[in-house]
Amino acid sequence: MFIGNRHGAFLCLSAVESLTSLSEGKPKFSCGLSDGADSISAVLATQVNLRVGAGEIKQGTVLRLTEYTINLVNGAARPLVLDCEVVGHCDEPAAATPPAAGATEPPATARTPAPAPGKENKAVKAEPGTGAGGSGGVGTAALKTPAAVKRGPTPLAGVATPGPSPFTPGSARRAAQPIQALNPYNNGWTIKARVASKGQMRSFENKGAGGATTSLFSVELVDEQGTAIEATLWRELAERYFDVLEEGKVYWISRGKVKPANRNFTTVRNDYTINLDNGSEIEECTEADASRMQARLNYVSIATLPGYTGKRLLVDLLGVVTAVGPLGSVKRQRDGTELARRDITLADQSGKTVTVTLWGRSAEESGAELEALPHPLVSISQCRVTDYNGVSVSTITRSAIAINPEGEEADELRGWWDATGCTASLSHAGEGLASALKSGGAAPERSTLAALRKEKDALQGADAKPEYASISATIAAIDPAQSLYYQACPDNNRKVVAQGDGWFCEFDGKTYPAMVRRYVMQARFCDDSGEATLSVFDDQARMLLGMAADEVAPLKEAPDPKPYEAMLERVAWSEWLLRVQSRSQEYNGELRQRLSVASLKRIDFIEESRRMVALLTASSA
Amino acid sequence: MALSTPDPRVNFSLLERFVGQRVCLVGRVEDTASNFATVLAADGGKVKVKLSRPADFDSSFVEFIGTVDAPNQITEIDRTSFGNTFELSTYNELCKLSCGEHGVIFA
Repeated sequence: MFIGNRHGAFLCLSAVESLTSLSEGKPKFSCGLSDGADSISAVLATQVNLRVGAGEIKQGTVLRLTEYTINLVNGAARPLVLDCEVVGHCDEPAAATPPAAGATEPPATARTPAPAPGKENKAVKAEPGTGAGGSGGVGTAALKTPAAVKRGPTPLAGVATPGPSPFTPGSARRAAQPIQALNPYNNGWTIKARVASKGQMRSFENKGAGGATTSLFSVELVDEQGTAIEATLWRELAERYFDVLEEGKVYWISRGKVKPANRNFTTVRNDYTINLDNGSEIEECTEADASRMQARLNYVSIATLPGYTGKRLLVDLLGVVTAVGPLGSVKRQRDGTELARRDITLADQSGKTVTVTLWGRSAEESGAELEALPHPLVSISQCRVTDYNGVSVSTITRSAIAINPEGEEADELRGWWDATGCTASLSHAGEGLASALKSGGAAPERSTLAALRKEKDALQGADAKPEYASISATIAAIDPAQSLYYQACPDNNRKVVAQGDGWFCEFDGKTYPAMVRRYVMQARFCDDSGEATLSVFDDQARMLLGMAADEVAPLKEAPDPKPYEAMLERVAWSEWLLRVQSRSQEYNGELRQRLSVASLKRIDFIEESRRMVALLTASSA
Repeated sequence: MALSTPDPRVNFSLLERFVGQRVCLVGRVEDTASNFATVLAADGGKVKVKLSRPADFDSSFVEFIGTVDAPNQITEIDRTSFGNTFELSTYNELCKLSCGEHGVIFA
């Protein structure tokens, strides 16, 4: 690949030891040319030969090719240099490939299959001032001129860094390039960056190549300018460095391939990504100040958040906290551990709000701090954007939360909030979005009780994953004749039986001095489609009835059934938003559908009205 | 209110369509003076309500049934307290939909 700029193609003559006389009569020279990324074999035309003889062109000379033709020799492109200018000289070859490669074997680019065997000849005149794109007439597969070099003139490694060899960055300590300046057209770079995070080792089987396993892992790198980029280590390099690279340490990294990043899969905000494979170099830099290498926060306006849903890209948010929800917890399915969570609502100048779910320690500590302050500003880095309720935001392990941060952006937001924001009418960023209305996943599309019911032959096996649906329904009745609750072990919630003075738990074989009652009740719910009997367990039943099972017991066991029945009737006809779990269960050798309430909350009429208005608007639009 | 002919739910801009007729106006009581109340309608317009009873409102949002005297004034026939947490902007959508696109259902 040629590095082009407005003056034609710059090339460093990299392998003049291969300058060989091709014919006896007229001297004709073959040489290796490199632009820092790739190299190619070329032939110098007779008129250029004199300059070789005069010593003007030798190994390491940087040339600008002003006139050349491309010949296809045995399917490989071979430029014939008709005229050139000497631009400079570097002591060491600037080739990305080993210096000899360009001359002794076909260069990487030249291995690309050529369109047709035989000889193709095209004269190309590089015109000064028309830009590199002007030489787009070079139609061979092997020679491509970049349409434009993105970040302005790219210095050739050989020109920019005279002196020590670029191949040993660690010892040479040559100037590191800012990550910002990386682009796919230049491979002779070295960056100095902190490993901000290290991913898991992944591997996949390469079906095409005899089932060989390829392993890789990714790291997020941040340099002194605060620019972040994702780098992926492949194969042996990945295996060698997985235990070596440490989060928070600084490394010199060179000779990787810069590729455009796939925005759908990367979590790092950069147009490019780096692939490091055999031949890439990584060396720890011990004297660097890692504290300066923090990713610069790049705040995203709340109004634009919907554009980030469904992508892995993480965003930074700055907002005024308008509401802090209570601390809750979620049981992880995988290992049963409890994870703290808390929802907060943020607003910004866009007039939009968004719900941010804080997880783990940030839910507990930062959440409590936020709760105590009146409308604090909060900056949250590296948030995941989901389409829950149209659009929602969730923190991840490496999200950093700063309360009342300083800086221009924070001052601006604070000024807006004090002047207009606090009285302005704010709306949720996800309002009216298609994803807020569409079905599937966590989207709050409502199902109906009738839609939930499955015929016997449509039931999945008992080990199938349960399905969930959101339904707004009304309690029709709770049968007072059912047992309603059971006597449970205070430690593990399993059933206990009275034994002497205590309660024996069959599960752990211990006897407890006391037990707690836990609900397992059946409640009949109805909606406009029909009705269904749902199982309701302790946490949900407690919300539904407004009291604990232990408080219900005296009423239920009293001789006068009226207060107990009245209590159950009071709940009837209350409206709820339910998350219903549907799973198959084997019972007497037969599969049955079992419906239970996974979570519930009282219908919020304002929210419900908004939802319906949005549905009407969407259907008439 | 006769159930067979429900009173149209209106905001300020809809009032002019119902001059001389009965309407249902829900709004926030902003001010009262002698036997008039100034009510902020769902679309943000201000309506003068000629009261038929003393102005002892016990909530900030009130539903008035009244006859439209002029595009900015009604005479109260009845009233109901609507509490202190009522979202006028959403209700405004109901007014527009029930007097416009989906009027058939509400007539």
